[in-house]
Amino acid sequence: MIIRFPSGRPEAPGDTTVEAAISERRGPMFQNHPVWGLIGLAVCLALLFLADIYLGSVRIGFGKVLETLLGRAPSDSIAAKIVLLFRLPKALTALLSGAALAVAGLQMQTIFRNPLAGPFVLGINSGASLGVAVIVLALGASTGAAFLESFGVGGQIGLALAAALGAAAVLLLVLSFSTRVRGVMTLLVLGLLFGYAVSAVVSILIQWSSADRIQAYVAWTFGSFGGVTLHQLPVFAPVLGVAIGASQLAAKQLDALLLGEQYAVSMGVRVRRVRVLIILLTALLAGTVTAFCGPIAFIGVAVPHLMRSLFSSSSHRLLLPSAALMGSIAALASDIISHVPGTDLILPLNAVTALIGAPVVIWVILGRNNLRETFGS
Amino acid sequence: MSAATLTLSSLAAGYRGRDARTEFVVGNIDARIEPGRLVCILGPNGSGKSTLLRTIAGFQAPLAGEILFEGRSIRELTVNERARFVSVVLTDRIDAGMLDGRELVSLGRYPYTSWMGGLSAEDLRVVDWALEAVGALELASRPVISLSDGERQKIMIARALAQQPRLVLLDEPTAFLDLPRKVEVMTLLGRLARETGCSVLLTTHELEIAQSLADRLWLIRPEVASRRSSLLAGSPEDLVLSGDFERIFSTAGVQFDRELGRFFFGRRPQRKVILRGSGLPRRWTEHALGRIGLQSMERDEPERARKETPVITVQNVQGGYLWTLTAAGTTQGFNSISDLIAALDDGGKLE
Repeated sequence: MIIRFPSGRPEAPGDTTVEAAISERRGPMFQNHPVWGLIGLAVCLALLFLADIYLGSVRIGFGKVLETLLGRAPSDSIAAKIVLLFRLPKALTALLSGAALAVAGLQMQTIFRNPLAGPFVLGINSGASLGVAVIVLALGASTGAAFLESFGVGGQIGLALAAALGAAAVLLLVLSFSTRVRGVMTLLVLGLLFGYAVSAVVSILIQWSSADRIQAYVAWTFGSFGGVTLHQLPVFAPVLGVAIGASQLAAKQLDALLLGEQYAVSMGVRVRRVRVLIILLTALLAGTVTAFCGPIAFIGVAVPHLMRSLFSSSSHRLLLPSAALMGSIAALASDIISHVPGTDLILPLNAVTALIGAPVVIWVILGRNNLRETFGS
Repeated sequence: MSAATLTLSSLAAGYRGRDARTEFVVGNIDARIEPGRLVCILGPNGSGKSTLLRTIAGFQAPLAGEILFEGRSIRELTVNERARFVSVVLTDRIDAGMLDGRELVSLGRYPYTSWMGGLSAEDLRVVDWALEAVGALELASRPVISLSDGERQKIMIARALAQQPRLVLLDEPTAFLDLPRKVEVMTLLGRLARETGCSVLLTTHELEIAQSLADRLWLIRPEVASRRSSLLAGSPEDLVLSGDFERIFSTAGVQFDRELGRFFFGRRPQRKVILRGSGLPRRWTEHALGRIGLQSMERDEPERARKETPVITVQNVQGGYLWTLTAAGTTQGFNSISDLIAALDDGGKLE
């Protein structure tokens, strides 16, 4: 698989100066060997995935974890139950969610040509928050509980459903606008304003809610990969898997959009159709993750920047797969840290993603002036 | 109808508004471009040059009439067919991100690549050809963000060429460039048109460059009152001889000299002076006099002989120049043009 735009035409004699100039120009880590970069990321991902299953409040030997995962250990032991029913779904959820958010963020940054864009720029999370807030805060404790009960275990799926409905409502709103507006910036402003409107409604709901309901709502906003059970995975995983896969196919269109919508049109991109498809994919990715895990911040905005820096590239054929890998890595690492290995402590996931990730990204971006290079501002 | 590269028949381009004030139309356009020609659209600001170009590019639908590419209506073409026929270079400053020159030019292969966007050997060959055609091979591996305006314009033209179009549309390709770069880019476009047979249609404000390099000019004549513009097509020489060029562009402060084929700007000559002297000092003294609205003559006109005309003499003295002004019976000497101008501009002295 050729990832980068091929720059390796048959080498003419004396071309070495050009090659030297290339490697000299930005000192990129994987620029000339992007495939090795991808392989490195994949190895990191595999290690963190195992670590996420191995580490936890209950100490389980690594050998036993491996045996359980390979199906060689009796599945009725406590250790096996912890691994199979709790840690494995959690690790899979983190892996898929991270990839989904990073890919969605990359798509939004390209579509909107804005470095601050992320998966939630269209207000997907606002919609989801509103759905959850209405269920948890507005409906009284008894009705809420009854409502949640009707959807089964622990009300988790009820929350997911409320979030999904909220996100879908926003999506319909955005889509109805996206076919009508000429410039994509209008959508950005709409998403922003919708976010404000939702925060307003949520704060009104909070004003009139009891402490325990507020606590429940706030806990949801912290984000967690632990909420997806083994029974929900058959819904969660295929949706995200298909959406992440489909996103990878948009590389050609996204590359063409790098020069702006007019150039894209002139090259034969059906811009409005592509825009709607990308918005749908992003909504599916970000909406599904938010519904099951809460509004997970930072990963979607930061990982694409990190990958542009790492590969010194704007090519989506490289950025899409690498952002997916790096998103998974970031999510798994955050999950491991939030469960503070060796203790019973659990930190809010969103606090971890922001506290650990933000400095890393600031360092990378300041170090390379990438924002200016990428977005020309 | 023979297959001209581009044929516009009864075309109207513009914006339909709710009322006359928001409406804007360039109408009744009948024009064609033969293969391998460089055609410049000229017209005052706001006359609808870019609107016409955008309509031909397919960014906005024509209000009426037909756009034919080699005899086929733009309406019949799929977006991909259109992209293989016509490519554009726009005025928007592009945010090239981390793309280097070659990557940016490769984007032009979009209409030819598979759904995955991978470049075939043929695509790579065309990209190299396009880079070489604009003389930008040495820019291929440089980040686009680091290129100068002129270099970036070359890369953007190479990207347009990589689409292997029959027609390239450029919206003010020389806008941000200094004079030598403007001429370089226009000469390049003319050469590309002749050598590749691909026609070039561009808008520009560089009237003089367009006159000397374009095969044909399309003049857009604005009619301010009706907010409708019309188009005059012809060879530069015909348009000058017919006086159309002059009519469209001469306004207060800018005069077109049919004799020299160039524009004069500055103050309209109010009064005349006799200038004696020769060579470079004469040339620049004349220039300065023109700036303050004085027309220089070699000798007095017969009908003016009764009235005394001021006389300015410039001569070399000891490695410098000396200007003398004789007016109203007095004579003054000056060591620099600015002193001379200051004295003249003071007024009164010439009456």
